[in-house]
Amino acid sequence: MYAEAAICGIILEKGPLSWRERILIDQKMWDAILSRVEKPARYIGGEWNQTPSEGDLAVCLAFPDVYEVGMSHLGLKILYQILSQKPGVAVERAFAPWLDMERELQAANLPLVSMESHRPLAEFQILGFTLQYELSYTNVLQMLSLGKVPLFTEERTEKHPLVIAGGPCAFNPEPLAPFLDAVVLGEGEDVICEIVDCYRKWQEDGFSRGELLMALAKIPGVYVPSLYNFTYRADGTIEAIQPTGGAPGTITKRVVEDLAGAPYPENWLVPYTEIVHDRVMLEIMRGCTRGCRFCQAGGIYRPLRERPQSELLDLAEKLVSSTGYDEISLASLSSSDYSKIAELTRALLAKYGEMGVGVSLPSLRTDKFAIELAQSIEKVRKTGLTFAPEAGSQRLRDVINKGVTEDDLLTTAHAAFSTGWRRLKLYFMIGLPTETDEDVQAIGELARKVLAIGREHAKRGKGGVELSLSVSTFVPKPQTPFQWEPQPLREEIRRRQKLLRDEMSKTRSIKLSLHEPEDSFLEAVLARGDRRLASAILAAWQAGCHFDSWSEQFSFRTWLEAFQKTGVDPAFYANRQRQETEILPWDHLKSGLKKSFLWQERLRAYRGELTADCRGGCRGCGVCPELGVANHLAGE
Amino acid sequence: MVERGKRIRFKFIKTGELKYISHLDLLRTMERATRRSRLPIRYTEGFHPRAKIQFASALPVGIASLGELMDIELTEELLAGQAMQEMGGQLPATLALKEARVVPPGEGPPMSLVRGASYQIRVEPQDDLAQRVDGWLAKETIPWTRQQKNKVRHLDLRGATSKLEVLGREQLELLLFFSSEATNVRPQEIIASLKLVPLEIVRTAIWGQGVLMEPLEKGIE
Repeated sequence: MYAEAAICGIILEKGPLSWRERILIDQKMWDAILSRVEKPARYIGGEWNQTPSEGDLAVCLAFPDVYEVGMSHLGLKILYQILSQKPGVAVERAFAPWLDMERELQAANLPLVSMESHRPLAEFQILGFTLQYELSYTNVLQMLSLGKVPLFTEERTEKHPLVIAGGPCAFNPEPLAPFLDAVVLGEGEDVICEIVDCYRKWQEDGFSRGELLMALAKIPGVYVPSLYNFTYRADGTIEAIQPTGGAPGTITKRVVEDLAGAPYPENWLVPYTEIVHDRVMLEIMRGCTRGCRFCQAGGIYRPLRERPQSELLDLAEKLVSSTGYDEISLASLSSSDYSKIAELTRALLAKYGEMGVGVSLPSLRTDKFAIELAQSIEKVRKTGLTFAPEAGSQRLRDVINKGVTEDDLLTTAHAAFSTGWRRLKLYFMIGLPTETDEDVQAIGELARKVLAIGREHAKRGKGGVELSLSVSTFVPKPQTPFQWEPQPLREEIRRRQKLLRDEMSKTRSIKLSLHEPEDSFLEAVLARGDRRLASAILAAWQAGCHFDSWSEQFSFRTWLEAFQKTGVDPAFYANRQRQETEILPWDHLKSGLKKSFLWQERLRAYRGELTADCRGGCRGCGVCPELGVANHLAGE
Repeated sequence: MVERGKRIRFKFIKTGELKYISHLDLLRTMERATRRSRLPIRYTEGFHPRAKIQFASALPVGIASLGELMDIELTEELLAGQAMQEMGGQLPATLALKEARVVPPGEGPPMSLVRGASYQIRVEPQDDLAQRVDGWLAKETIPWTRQQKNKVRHLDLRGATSKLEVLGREQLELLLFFSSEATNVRPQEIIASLKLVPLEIVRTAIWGQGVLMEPLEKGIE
């Protein structure tokens, strides 16, 4: 570990100096760099509970954003734990250095290195990126480049790392296809070990890189983009997706059948500097049964699997003891849906409340039960509550299958204000399929009703109420019933935003925040792009684009220039209505959701028909039979 | 000498790369260590309970220290050595606890006792280092302005310097006065006004009233 080396002095190995040794020797240079950068603590590593893992096969888990964001990601922690326990594997982490550190590395001609041993990315055998959001794609290129790893899969040889990727964006990784050697669909717990084993066997056999890719393509859930040929029609749509060299025609995602006993990061790293989610995260369940039609996560993480309560209590005990954190977050897509949520929170509060350890629920359904739950948690500290009705009118909420009525929201607001909350935040989307001006205005009407309830309660108590609206732009995502839908044009989104702003100008006390339509447009382009987009991503990155999800870094104009330069029409991807029969760039990548089910859901959306929660009976999405799994509830 | 008490004062180090964590980071780290140790720590009342931990002085980011001080408050009386053992086991080597003593009731918080701090500074070698320092010390006042976001602070570097000694071509020993009323001068500012390039700054001790404290029992005359 670097921090130890700094105190104990440096032990040199024999042979020519590696980058690692050079950096260690040049303590002065590294020290000088750290003393110049804005937030040096994000580069020091050596977190509490960090134990060096030893092995001849070095795997680097790379998160294409800054340390504070990457260290907040549960998936990274889970895979880190699994690999650290695998014999012969040394697992390390790398994050995107912020702009000041980038400049320092480039000025000193130093490569991007891992946190643990300061090993340059190019010296790892396997480099695994997580793709959490589309606007991080250019950061993948930036990290490869800073790490001195060739950008294209075809440029890499046996000497270079195997570059793999996973995460929700892996369900359409096509825009990054030329840069990735292999892509993992679904949950990585088991398949990451299979990939490592496959790599080791290949290394021992001394075969070529092409043979490694072929062997990887035979692992279920592993997609090797270079083994697939895309052909296109004159109108730009896909004619065919053809596997070559014996690669499978379709790739189906991997899932952990049951979360009971599934590996969990017990050696939870506690950073010295503050990170985005600076707390113990307890994953209480995975998947969601609600079936909101805009939601990608709700579909791709199916089936629903709840972790047994007894196991969660055990994990909480281990994690609180080993981290010293003062907060346990009950993480999932919809935490108040966990079967035993009331019992679980009660048990945790009873055990840890005395120690000053709180419990938090990051995702609450809009119902009275959620308020009762929140009430039991925040007896004293009533910070604020967030709910997501997503759409203003009942008609549009039915279209997206949100399953929340106006009555639900108002009852919830009433319950929240009457039990002492003073701050409420509501999430909405603009640009959903079938949206009319009335739907947009309905957001304002609904918000005013909520405010009126709040004011009534505030009159009785002391102090005012705060209501804020956060309104984003709908981005159609692959593997959802809206995967065929156009995103409205930017001018149209601006018009609707203005409509809403005018509507809200009547009630200035409600804080309104609107997202820039340009960000959402680029997200829509990348989310449903095909591999012809890769040249535009490359051009945008070459022109300086990265950290696109950081608004101060985002340059829409540079992106437009990149599209123009590479002959890519972004509107073809973002704003076009696809036909039922069209071959989509991700048709060969299976989340378990049947395309016919998604299309039926799309038709039901247009008819305003609801599809009920699948806890009450199977709705035929296809996940359970396709994957040979089932929903697992904690009570069963 | 009181053996058991509800308030324990620790002397600890902040070295290696942990010199790059901020004062707030340090507070969080210590708070988590107390929770891991399961010491019967006292929490503040109110909406957001915080462990009762108080530091003698905030250390600027980038400066290491061999003698920081902090007090922790407990809900029951403990032996200082026992508290040090339990808490120390939950800290990295770069934040090791070095000494502990029970603070008698009625003694003020550690920051109220601080009168100064001493530093060892390594700079890029200079042949005329001694002359430069002599000339600097001969002045009566050395005005200095510190730009802080929207605020400008006016300081007197010379007035804040109790001792500045040259050891060879690249080593300095500095003792700065601190006061609870005025803004404290930072060692980097002394180095900058001497037009020197600092390579390493280490706080060697915090001084209280009287002479050097062990921890905080003696101080500056």
